[in-house]
Amino acid sequence: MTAKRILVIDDEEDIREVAQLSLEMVGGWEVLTASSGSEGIAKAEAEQPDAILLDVMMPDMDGPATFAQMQRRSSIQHIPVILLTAKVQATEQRRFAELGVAGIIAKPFDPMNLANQVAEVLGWKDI
Amino acid sequence: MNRILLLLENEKNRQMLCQKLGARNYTLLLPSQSDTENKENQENKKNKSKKAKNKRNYKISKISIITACSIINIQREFDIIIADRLGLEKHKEQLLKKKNSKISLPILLLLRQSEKILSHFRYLADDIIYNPINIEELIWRIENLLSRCRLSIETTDNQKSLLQQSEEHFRLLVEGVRDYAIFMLDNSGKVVSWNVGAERIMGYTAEEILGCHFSCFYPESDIICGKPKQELQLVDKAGQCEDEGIRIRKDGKQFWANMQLAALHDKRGERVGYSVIIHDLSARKQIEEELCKANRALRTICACNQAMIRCCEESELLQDICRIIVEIGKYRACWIGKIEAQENRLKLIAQSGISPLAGEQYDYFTPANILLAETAIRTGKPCTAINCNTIIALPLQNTSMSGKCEILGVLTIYAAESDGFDTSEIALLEELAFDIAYGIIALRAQQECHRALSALRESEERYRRLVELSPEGIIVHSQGIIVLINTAGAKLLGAESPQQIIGCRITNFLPSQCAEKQTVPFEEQKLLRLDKKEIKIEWAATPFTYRSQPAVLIVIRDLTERKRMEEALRRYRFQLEELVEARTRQLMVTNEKLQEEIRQRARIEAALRASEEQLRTLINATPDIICFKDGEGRWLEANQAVLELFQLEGIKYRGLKDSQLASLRSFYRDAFLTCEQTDEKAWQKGSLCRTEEVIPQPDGTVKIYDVIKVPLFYMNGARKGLVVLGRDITERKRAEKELVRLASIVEASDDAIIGTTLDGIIISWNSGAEKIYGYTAVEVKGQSSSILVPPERREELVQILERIKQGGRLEHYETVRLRKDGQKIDVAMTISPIQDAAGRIIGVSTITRDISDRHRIEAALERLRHQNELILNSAGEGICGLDETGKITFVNPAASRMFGYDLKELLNQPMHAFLHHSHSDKTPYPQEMCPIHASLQDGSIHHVTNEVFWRKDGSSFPVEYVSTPILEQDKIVGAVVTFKDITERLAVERMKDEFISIVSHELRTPLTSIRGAMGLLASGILKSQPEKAQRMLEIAVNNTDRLVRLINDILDLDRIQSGKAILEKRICNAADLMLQAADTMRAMAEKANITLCVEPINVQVWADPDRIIQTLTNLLSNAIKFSDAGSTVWLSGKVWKVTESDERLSIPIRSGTPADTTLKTQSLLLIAVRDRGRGIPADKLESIFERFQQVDSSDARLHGGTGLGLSICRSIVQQHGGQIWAESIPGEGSTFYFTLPQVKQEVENSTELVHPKTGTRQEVEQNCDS
Repeated sequence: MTAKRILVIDDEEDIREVAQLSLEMVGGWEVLTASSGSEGIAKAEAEQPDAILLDVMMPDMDGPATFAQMQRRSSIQHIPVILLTAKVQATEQRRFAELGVAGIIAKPFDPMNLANQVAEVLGWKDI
Repeated sequence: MNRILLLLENEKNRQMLCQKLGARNYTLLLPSQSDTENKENQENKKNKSKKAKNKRNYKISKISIITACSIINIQREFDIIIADRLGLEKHKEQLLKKKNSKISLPILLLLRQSEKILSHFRYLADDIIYNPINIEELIWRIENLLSRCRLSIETTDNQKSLLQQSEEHFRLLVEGVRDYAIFMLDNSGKVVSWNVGAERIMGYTAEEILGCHFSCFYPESDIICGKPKQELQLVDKAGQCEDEGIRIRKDGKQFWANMQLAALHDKRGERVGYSVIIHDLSARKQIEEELCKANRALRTICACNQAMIRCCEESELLQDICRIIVEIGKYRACWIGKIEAQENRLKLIAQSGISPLAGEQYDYFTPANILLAETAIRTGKPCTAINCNTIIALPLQNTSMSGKCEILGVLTIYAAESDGFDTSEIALLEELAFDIAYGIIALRAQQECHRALSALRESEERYRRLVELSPEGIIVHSQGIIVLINTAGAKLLGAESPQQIIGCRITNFLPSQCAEKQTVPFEEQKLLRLDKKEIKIEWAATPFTYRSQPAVLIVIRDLTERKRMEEALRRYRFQLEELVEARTRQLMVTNEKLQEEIRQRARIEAALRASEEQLRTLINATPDIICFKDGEGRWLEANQAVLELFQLEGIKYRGLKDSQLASLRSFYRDAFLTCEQTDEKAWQKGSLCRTEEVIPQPDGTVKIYDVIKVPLFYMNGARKGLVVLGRDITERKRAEKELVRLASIVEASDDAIIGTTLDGIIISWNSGAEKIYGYTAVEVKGQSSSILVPPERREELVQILERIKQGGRLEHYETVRLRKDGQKIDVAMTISPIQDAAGRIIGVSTITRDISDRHRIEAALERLRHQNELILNSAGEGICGLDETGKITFVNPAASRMFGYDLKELLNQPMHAFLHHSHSDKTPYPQEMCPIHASLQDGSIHHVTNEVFWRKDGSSFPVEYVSTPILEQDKIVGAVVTFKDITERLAVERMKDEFISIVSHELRTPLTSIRGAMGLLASGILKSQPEKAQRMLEIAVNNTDRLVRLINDILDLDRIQSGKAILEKRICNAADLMLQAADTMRAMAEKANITLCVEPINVQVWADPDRIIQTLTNLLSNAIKFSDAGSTVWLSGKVWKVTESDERLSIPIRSGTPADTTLKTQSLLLIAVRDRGRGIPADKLESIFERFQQVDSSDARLHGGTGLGLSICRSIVQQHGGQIWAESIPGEGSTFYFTLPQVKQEVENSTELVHPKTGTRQEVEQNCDS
């Protein structure tokens, strides 16, 4: 079985790095990164990853806007998207859940458990 | 063809024999010994010429070369060996082995004449032939040896195979035996063979046990006493030994085994080992034990039964049984418990047995065991508990004749062994329990019988005594023969003792028909005594059973005495009758006289009665009460009125005193007693006495009598009699009382009640009138009422009187009257005519109320209402009053302002339909769901915060409102709605929420990096990648710094904005502040290769220097961050005079700020920080001063900002009364300005308004050695 490929979209370089290292080391997956929504969409179309980890608070185009864009593109609308958010207020969580994303993971996350959380959300058994 | 192995070291002989024997049709084998071979090869070469053909023709195939070492292996490859001494010597060992292996191998030894035959050769060789060899002899010896050998081989082969066969059979037999473990031991006692039976019985497989010492089959205790060894010694002595005992299986289980050991000897009688046969006896042993147990149980039952037969006392029996169960049954212990009917619990009756500890009495009657016993009792079945005690509890139950099962108790037995009770034993024990139960019942029945018997005896004895003591004669006869008679009876019959009579016939004493009669009630009879005297008796007879015989009980009573008494009585009676007759005659004469007198008196009485009757009729006819009493107060006569008054009709009152009547008619008790007292007063007075007496009536009313009492005296002054006359004056009294009451009401009234004639002359004047008008009654009576009327209203009075004369009346007529002191008063009058009994108007009644107070209250109320209206009108909250139908009845200006309607437009409109018709999302809001409606419906109060009201222009606004019902005497007459427009509050809340959300995000972002980096480091997953670990550490450290900065900034901002951070303002020089800030930033600028130009301005400002420096460094730091390397950042200051009309800079100057500015213009210090960076888009120029608003949020990450720096700057500047803003041309750079109020202007760089951007500057070169 080929390793899963995950695209991490976050404007924070440090978080990208940590998430990438965590998913590679713990999940054993291949990790692609993008620093903005538009870059993420381009990368997703080009690379066709198995899943996308998408930050919510980003300048220009935030997470929900990026997700809406992705949903409009037939080439990537099937890829499950998990929102990564530092917003923890219940109303915001509810708003995100209503978008139709595969799951929501709160920041700060446990790097040793991130891959597990992702796999659990997506129903991946091989981790 | 026989094969011959030639072991000849002698060359010559070998060749000769090869030749000779080869020709004789033998196959020759030669050992492949190197020298032999070599020689042979040489020989073969030599012979090639001579006998090559011959040899090839005949023997080439017959001569084989074999290796010496394989001689034994190819034993069957040759039939005979011909060897010389050396050859034999050479292969001696192999040949010796061969010989020992009992394989027949004839060896023909070829010796020289001179050679001695050594013993071992002799042993090896079967035959010897000496040199020189005669071939014929050789052949004969060969053939002879071969034939001998063949014979021997045949026989031994035969025997061997037979032996082997039988041995095999035997072995199979032995191995196949399953019921016996059969195995062999070597001399040391180790197991060397093992059969299937052994495997089955002992549990070991052959592989496991072979080589082990057989003592492992013995229990530990046997091994300690050396039993296995002893048994082997016994076998050595006696040849065999048999032993029964415990042996142990592989799994550690013990079993009872029979073990036979026998020694095994070889032919020479040497012992080579032992055979062992083990038979598992556990089944037999078990049966034996069971038998033994059953036997014991049977013996126990037997012994118990005997005990039951012997015994006559229950507890003794049960104790005996317990003892027997332990002694004979060999159980460890047992006890019997009985159910206590009253307490419903088990009581220990008997026990036996010893404790496992040193033979003491042990308490087995423990709660656990009792529980077991109780279970047995409850279920009626034996109950066992297999634990360390091994207990069985057996119910002692007896099934009675009626089939009813009765549980008497429980027998609990403790087994001596650990294997407990088996089924058959339990069955026997159950039987035992049944027997015991039966025994108990039998014993009880027996005791009951004894008791009954003795009771019977006692009872008989008692009866006998009774019979004996009876004064009447009692005789019992059975078929005419007297069997019992008491002393009285014997005496009656004239005998001295009863014995004299017993045995006599009853007919001796009584007529024969008496003997036949079975049942006789008492009847008279004659009795013939022993002395032949006849006496009269009364007798009775009853049949009964006496000592199992039908008998008759006769009771005899002597009548002699009674008869005599009767006779005497009769005599007395006769005499008495005579006496009575004489007396009666005497009486009749007297009576005649008496009758005559009575008749005469009656006539007189009749005449009297007639006159009395007339009088009585008269008296009775009067409604007044009339009563006569004698001198002592006794009633003589009372008329009907009295009788009715006191309800004395039908009562014999005559001759009774008042006190007696009082007790007779208790209701009138007080009246009677009062009457008695007033009687006494009349007596005392001695003449007519008049009183009023109050007599209560049963219906609750009272009657009042005017009573006259006339005492009558005899001539001598003694009391003769009393006449009481009374008249009912109740009605009169009532009328009087009513009048008084009304007068007092009129008098007590606060209103003035005045009576006048039709001409207005005052005739009555109450105290209320006195109070209101100030005149006393005396002053005004007889005066005209016009004195009460103010002169200007006199005409009014005339009109009123006129109207009254017509029969009209006036009610609540409000007017003004005059007091005595001349003061006018407001009054309300009710004026009505006074009519006489015939209905003629004879006067005027005027009721006047002073209403000046009421007017005052009304005025106050009006003021209050006005005040309230003012309050409501000035209230900031909207207030709406509704009637019970929900229509607006009141609305305050605030409400009408919020709604955008005029007050008039709102009044009388249904509030819900008008202002509250829809939800915020414009969906209709049904009135039934509206809380205001609910308040009107059920009087509930509602506080609502999430609804909207609608304005006139069709827009809505969020409101918080309270609807409260207006209650009047528990009735809902309307509601009040007070409300607030909460648009602003909601906006503030929303802003607060957003800010919290942003702060939360800003704090969590660095935390996420820290947490992630630390988590990876902590997990140890990066151990093998130090460079990644290092990177993670960097991330953690950088983000920690960022977090610290962020928190500091947030706190700082909060402190400044909330005013918690007190600005330590003082006069300071702007140039100092600017240079100090530039110094602080120099290092950063150098690092970024930026030139920092400062134009200090020598101006005094009123400021907190630290805060201003903070602002400057913040702005400089931003400028440096956003400038490209090699460029320049300028810091400059200007004095700027502005007029108030300049909107941007029209900052109100705070009181206390020492600023010497005129009203119109003010002098400000303007500071500018300019860079040549990329610039700020126009739409962001304002928002960058808001919290967390950067032009590009990635800037913060890139440049380490928190997004709060400019917010802090703005707060600081605003706290100083200044302003801050930015100007920018994208791509060319930005300039940040802020102003501070100036204190004193020492050096003025510029007196004109100078645009900061184009102003002159004094450049201060900074060292840029980077």
